[in-house]
Amino acid sequence: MSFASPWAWLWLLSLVPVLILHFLRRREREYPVSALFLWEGIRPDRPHFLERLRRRFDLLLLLQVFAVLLFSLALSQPLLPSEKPSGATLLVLDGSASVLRGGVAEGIVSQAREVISRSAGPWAILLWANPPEILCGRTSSAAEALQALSRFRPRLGRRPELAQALALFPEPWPRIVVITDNPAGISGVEVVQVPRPENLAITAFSVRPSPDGTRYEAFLRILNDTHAYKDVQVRVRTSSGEYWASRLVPPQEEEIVILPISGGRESAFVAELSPMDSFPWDNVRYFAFSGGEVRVLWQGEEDRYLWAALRAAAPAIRVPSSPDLVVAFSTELRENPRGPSLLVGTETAGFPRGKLREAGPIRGEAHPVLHHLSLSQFRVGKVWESTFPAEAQVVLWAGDLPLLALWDGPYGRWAFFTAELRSSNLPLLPDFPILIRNLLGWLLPEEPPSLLLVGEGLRLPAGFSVVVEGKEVEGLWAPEKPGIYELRRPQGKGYIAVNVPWEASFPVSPAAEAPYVAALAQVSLPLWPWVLLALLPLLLGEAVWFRRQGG
Amino acid sequence: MAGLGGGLGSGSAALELLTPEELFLLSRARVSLRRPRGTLLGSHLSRRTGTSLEFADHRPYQPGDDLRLVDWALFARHRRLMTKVFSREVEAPLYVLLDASRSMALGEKFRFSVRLSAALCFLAFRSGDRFGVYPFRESPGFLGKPRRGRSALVRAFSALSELSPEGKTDFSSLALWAEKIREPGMCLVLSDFLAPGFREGLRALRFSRHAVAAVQILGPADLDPQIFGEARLLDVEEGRAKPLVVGRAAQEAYREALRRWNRGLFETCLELGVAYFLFPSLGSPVEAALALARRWRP
Repeated sequence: MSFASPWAWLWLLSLVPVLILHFLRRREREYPVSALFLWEGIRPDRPHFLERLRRRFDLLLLLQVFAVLLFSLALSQPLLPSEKPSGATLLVLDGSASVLRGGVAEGIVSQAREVISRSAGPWAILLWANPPEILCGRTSSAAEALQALSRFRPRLGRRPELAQALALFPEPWPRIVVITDNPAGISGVEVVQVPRPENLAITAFSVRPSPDGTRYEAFLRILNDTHAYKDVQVRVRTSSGEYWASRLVPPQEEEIVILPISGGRESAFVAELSPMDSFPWDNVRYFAFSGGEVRVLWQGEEDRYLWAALRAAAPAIRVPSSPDLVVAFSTELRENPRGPSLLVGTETAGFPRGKLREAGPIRGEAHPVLHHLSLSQFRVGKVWESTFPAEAQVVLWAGDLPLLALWDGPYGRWAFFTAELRSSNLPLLPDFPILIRNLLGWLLPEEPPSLLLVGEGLRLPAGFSVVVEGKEVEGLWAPEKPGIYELRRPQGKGYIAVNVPWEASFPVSPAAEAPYVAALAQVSLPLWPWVLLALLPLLLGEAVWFRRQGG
Repeated sequence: MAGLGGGLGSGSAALELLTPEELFLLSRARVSLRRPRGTLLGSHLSRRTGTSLEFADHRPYQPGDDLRLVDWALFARHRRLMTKVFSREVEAPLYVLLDASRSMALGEKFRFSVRLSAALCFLAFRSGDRFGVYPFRESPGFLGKPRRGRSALVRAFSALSELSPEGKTDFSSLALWAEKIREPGMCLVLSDFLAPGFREGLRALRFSRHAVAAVQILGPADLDPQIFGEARLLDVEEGRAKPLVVGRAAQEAYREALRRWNRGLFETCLELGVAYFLFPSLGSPVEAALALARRWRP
């Protein structure tokens, strides 16, 4: 313990007059007796000095001495050393979309206030949103830090990586406190978790056309993140009508809803879930098909598996001429095709096809065309021996034979696929439409994605624009609200669906098992208010005792 | 038990002094005297002959004797005329002389004395004797004759309830009282006897042929005063004060002085043929009354 004003201990000298007055005070007490004559002959007692001193030391004197001691102690302003969480504290407030649930933002602010009040400072406050924002720079004023909390505004977007947000403060902080409703993926810092309220949400929404092209199927996943059964209604809206479905969803479970949608061609879909709750943004989800139709000129033999995969990957239609894509299947082309071409077991002019050979084990190169594929499941029986241009890049091998090669030549982009499809399991795999979709993405001209998240940036190609609140936006565009946005492009009108991040609707992942231990800092707590507080009942007791003694 | 208190008429005064339970205890006690000194007929057998139903003796027949008193059975056996003699039943008046000076107010002494007086009056009432309460200070306060019966008891209780301690103790007033009340009876002097002159007072009572008992009542402040340190001792009757530093030695000296004083009182009582009793004021006055009825046999 230390003292801010040690000279105040001189007030202890006031004990001297207190003691003198105490011993000088006449203490004769009156006692009524029945017979005074019995006391007449009695000699007064002369006790020992120490005995008299002991008699004079009564409770009142002790209280007075104690009061003087406490008073001197209070004036000397004692300071008690104590440990508080480390002084410099960086508060990272989660500002992602899930915080917009009812009460979460208030909980985060409340926790931030508590952290500020319990730490010594200085503080800085960072909004962990997309983009991250400094709400309060390094300050030693708790009032300023608390004031900055009023500027906390969560956003509908996804939060970036924590390290990306922390990069706004390059200097090291001994203590970093992340206040969030979702502690998943956070490590190495102190985490304060704020509970989330119950929620009903659409956690997945997708639409695909039927293979025959006559209708669509909408896939929805409904999450009941509550503790009660919920009777929910799902409505999918298109430009031509509405489609309804009802489900009783058990608590803490998901329900998959498949909704057939009839009618003509549609490009944009809106799914709505009722009843609404405190986080309505995930009760409405949007979906749009990317670009327009893909016109396909089919040459060679028919293959319904390849055609179904094409239809699943894009809204493909067959045309006799002026195609967007040429698909040649197990044939010999007399002329090289112009433009993007998918050549499956096909021989072209200048690039002859050899014999069928036994295929070896499948292995792939690192290329975007092979993203999201499980090559270990691929089984190919036979492969055509083929000749490729020297500039062609083989991205998939079957043993020592090329299985898939890509060539960006003078005729346009070609993809050579040498597998004998009927001797493989590819048409039966779910990965096959994905492979075709990846190939179409490489073959066809670049199109903006049709599905975006709020806050996700998009660079629009030349000639493309997005209509936002009646105005056309070109170049770089980052949507701020979910919805269906009209995309204007050279080949016609399209749509972009923007949703709030899907993870904002998912249940909270458990916090990290190993708790973070915050660094502690030495602080001095002033004790004088407590000493004065103790002095009050002491003085009161002294007064009561004085009156009781007849003073 | 309720009937005991209710039978007193103005029961509130009685119940303030004695509880129904205490009245019940007292109602079961019986006072027996060796030599009752009353002259009127009562319920106590005296040594004199009389006309009670209690056979006492035979004496030779004398002319004029009532022939109904001749013992004819004895005549048939011995051929001698003998007359039966019976005891006489007389009453025993009770005089309660109560010290009502200011010193009795210390240590519940006066309260004890008043309740003891009430209990004694109730005993006399149950025995059918006359009784009277006479407070004394510098002078006797009440000089009426003793009375018998329920109305007398109610009056005595009311007077006791209204009595308050004041004035000084003066035992010479007992001599004045003895000159006024000349009918011999049982005199109980209730006092702390912490004043000079008790010898003359008790002697005056004895010379008036009363059976006298000195009942000394001392409070805790008299027996073991809790005085310590620098004290100013104030005599409650005389108003005099004495400063004194009281320690263990002074306290022991006081206790020795009290013992000497009480020994003198006891020897005086022994000399005068006066019964002596000492009761602490913190005890039960009913128990004290029962002890007096049991141990004092005048």
